[in-house]
Amino acid sequence: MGNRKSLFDQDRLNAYQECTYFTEKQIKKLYKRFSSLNSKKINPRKANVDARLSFSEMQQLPELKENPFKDRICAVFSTNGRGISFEDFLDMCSVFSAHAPWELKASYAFRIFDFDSDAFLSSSDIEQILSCITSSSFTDEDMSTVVEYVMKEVDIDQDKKLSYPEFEHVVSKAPDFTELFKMTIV
Amino acid sequence: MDRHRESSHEQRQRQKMSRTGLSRAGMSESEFMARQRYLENSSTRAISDHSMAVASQPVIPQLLSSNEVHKYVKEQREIINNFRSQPWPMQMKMAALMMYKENVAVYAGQMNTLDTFKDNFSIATGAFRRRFRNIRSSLTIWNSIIKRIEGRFGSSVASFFNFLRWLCALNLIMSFIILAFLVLPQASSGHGLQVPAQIRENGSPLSFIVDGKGYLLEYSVLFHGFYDSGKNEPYVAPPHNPNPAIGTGYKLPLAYLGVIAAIFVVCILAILVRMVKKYKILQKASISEQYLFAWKVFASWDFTITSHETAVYKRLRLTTLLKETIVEADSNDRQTSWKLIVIRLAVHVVLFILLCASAYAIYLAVENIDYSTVSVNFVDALKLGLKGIWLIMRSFQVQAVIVTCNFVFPIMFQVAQLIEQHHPRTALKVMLARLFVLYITSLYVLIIALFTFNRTCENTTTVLTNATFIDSDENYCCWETVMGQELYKLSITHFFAELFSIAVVDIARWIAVKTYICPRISEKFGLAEFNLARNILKLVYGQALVWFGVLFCPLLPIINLLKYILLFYIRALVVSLFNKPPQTLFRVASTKTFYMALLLLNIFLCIFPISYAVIQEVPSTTCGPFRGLPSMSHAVTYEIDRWPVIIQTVVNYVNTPTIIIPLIGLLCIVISYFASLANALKEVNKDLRLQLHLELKAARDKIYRDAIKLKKQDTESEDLSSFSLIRRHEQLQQELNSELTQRFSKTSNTMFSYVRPFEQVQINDSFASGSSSSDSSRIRSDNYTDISTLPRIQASTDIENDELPVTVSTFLPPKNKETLKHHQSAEKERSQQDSEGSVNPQRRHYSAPTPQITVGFVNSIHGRPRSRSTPLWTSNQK
Repeated sequence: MGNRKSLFDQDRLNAYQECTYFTEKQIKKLYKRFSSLNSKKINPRKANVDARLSFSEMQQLPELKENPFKDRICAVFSTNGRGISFEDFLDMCSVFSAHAPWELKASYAFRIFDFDSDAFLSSSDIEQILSCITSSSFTDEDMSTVVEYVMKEVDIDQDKKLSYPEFEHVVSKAPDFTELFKMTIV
Repeated sequence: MDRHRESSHEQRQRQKMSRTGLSRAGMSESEFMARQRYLENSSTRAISDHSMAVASQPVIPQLLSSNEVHKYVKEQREIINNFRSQPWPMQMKMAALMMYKENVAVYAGQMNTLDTFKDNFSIATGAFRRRFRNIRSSLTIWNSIIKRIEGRFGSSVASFFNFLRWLCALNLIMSFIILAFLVLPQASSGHGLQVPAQIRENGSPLSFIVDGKGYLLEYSVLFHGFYDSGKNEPYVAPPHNPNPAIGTGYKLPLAYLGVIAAIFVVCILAILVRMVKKYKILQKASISEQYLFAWKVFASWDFTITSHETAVYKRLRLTTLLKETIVEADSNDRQTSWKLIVIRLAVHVVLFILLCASAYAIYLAVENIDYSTVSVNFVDALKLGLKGIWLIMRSFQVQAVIVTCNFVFPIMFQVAQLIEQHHPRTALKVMLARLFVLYITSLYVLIIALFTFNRTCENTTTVLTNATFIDSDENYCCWETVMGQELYKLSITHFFAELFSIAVVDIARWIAVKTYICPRISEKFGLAEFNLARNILKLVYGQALVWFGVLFCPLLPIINLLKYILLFYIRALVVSLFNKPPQTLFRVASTKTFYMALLLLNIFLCIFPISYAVIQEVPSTTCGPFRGLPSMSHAVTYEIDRWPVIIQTVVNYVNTPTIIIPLIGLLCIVISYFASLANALKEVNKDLRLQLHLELKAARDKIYRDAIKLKKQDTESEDLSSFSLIRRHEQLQQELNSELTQRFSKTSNTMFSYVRPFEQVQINDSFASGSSSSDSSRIRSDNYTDISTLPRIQASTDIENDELPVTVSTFLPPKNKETLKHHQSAEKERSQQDSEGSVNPQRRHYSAPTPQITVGFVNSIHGRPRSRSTPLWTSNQK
């Protein structure tokens, strides 16, 4: 012991391994990445799972920095709605890892895309997604056209909003979804 | 004693409850409360495990037979393994994990010895797998480089580097097999082909190094001719020598064939495994493109991007793509003009003629190979002046022709693309097909030509150059080594050509753009793009060379490995310095399977010439491990002849048509069986999907009602614990399932009004035309009467209920997809309900979809009890 005193106790590390798609080493690496974002708050030597980073600190992570959905990602993965703890971060990395199945990814993608958190993707949600992924030359008219087409394609029960099953159905057929909905953090 | 009585009481209570269908939770109310109290007070996890076991142990045995216990434990373990794929926050996952583990531990104690052994075995393999994963992930190199490239260029470019890395690993395995079973025994035996005296005196030890000549290289483990089992005289065929020995001790000829066979088997298996893995991802995607817009909106942003520039670029790209799609959707059919069709046809014809011409050029080049075993020393050649340079060029004529073709043709293809004006997607496919045909043709022409002209090698005494060098009048000729040399040279030249193309295409263009030599052009074209299709095919081609050449030049995999490692670093550097992100949006998933398919095709194409060489060609008489044999495969035949008679008869019998023809027939039957099975499964799959869809639809309103009911109940009881919530969910699901089954059996009309619109999206275009669609759907639904014939999926919880006592189906989490979805839709309905505030707005945290876990419970994992219970997770954070 003593010198080899580790970041986490072994039980916790095992539990993390069983709850995520990461190996022991990767989890430790992830903690290092996490603490490097603000080493004053997050002790890099001894794991403190209760400490939280604010969203803006979290978004300093290069993998999130350029992501147009970074605010949503933080909001979805934060368990208290204000900050990101290490476990939240671990959840996030696990969902975005290459090994996560598409079902898991899809369920989080839905939450991320659901800007107003009403459990449905309404037209305004889709418009917000579009404004995230397109440049300024995409006009409002284009946007409403695309929204109309999307609704036509996906909205099976015609309630003018997309529920999760409808969304999942579409995503399950998208060949590239699992390849694109991922971040390589370690 | 006391405990025992209490437990039997509980058991009765439970049985009663199960009869009335009230309890679906694993334990009765009192047991649960006791457990909860205990957990909150316990200080360490170890003790809690132990005493939990004691507390609940006596309850079980009468309820479950040993078989059922094992089945149950197995199921539970599976559930535990699947926690990582649950969309819950970490604390909930961990709490549930612990809960399940405790539960399993209790039941595992009830198993008999055999089952315990099986269980322990499965645990051990699980642990081993985890350790293996740890090791493997620490052995994976270049992660950071690939990650950086992925961040800057998106996942399609990264897939090239992943593929390259995988090829390196494959070559590493091949190299290892060869080194261990071929090179090492040969090198340690001390035998091997001796350098003829004349050549040793007069020849140069190393020639211009890349041409594989010079006696140091030619008479080394690099080439086939050197290998020798130490038996210098030729083998004598069986009639003269009844017991021909294929060497003594380590039988090199056999080892040689074995290693080659092993390499092919390993490679094919590796490709298949990877392909299947990738294919599984792809499989879910249907072939037809029905979601032109939705995919672009929901599944087109590349979350791997970390560079600002690429993000901006990607946005621009998506904007144009969406605009294009709008235009395409508005004007649905774009007629291709006659003129364009004629042009395209003409382009095809011209390219075909050019391809034939290039094939003929390769053939000619091989025909005129200078077979002198003499090498042209680079220094000597320079002394000879022009003639020397000519000699060097002559020795590289084949490679020069091939490499030039491979360099020039892709450029022509690109020009052709401009003329043809295909849709970008079609253009990419056409390009890939053309490149593949080009590479395969050049390789095959080379192989055929080499086989054709090498025969002459047997008869010719060495052709001599007029140069001042030696004349080796010895009748030394080794066609295997010549083959090996040609492929070795090709492999090396291929690499240098790659470097050349990098220098010309990428670096020169970068310099031209950056220095503004020609501002107009540089603005229009900019930096070179990373051409994914071409680069992938180059890799595949290089690998095909290895597979074909490994028989004649056993060290080729090692050379290729070094080549690819170098290439990896060079490419990574060049990409990040001189290239811009690719403009074409690739379907990464499908291209990945595509690479593997290309490799697989290639390896099969390589097997034909190799097996021809092994079975049909006569080995050289003066070199190689097979000298004196009628063919290489005779090494195996003779070896079998020395085995016991029984085995010989069996082998001989198996070889005859009596066995082989029925065997082929059997294979055909098996294949057709699996083909029809696959078809049937596809049908079933379709039906199941439809039914799943129905269930989801029907579930919705039911869940909504139940959710409200549940809320009311919850407000009445003050039980905030996780167990009760889990149990309520289970209850809800069960009710839902029974409700669904009832509804299915009734095949009510209202159900079909849910189905029809879905069908319409796929089939009927008039769906788009607004308001009338809901009416038409109702009318159509009358025609749709097959529903009762659909195979019935019963939710697994129901099945278990039929077979096993209630305890078995206790607190199963949503383990299959349907139930998971029920959860989720329930969650949404409820959270929506909650956000509207119509029911009980002050208890917002009850909108949590999944069981809530009290902090006290969670903390007990870490030994810090706390009694206050707070919600950890609500799905809708405002």
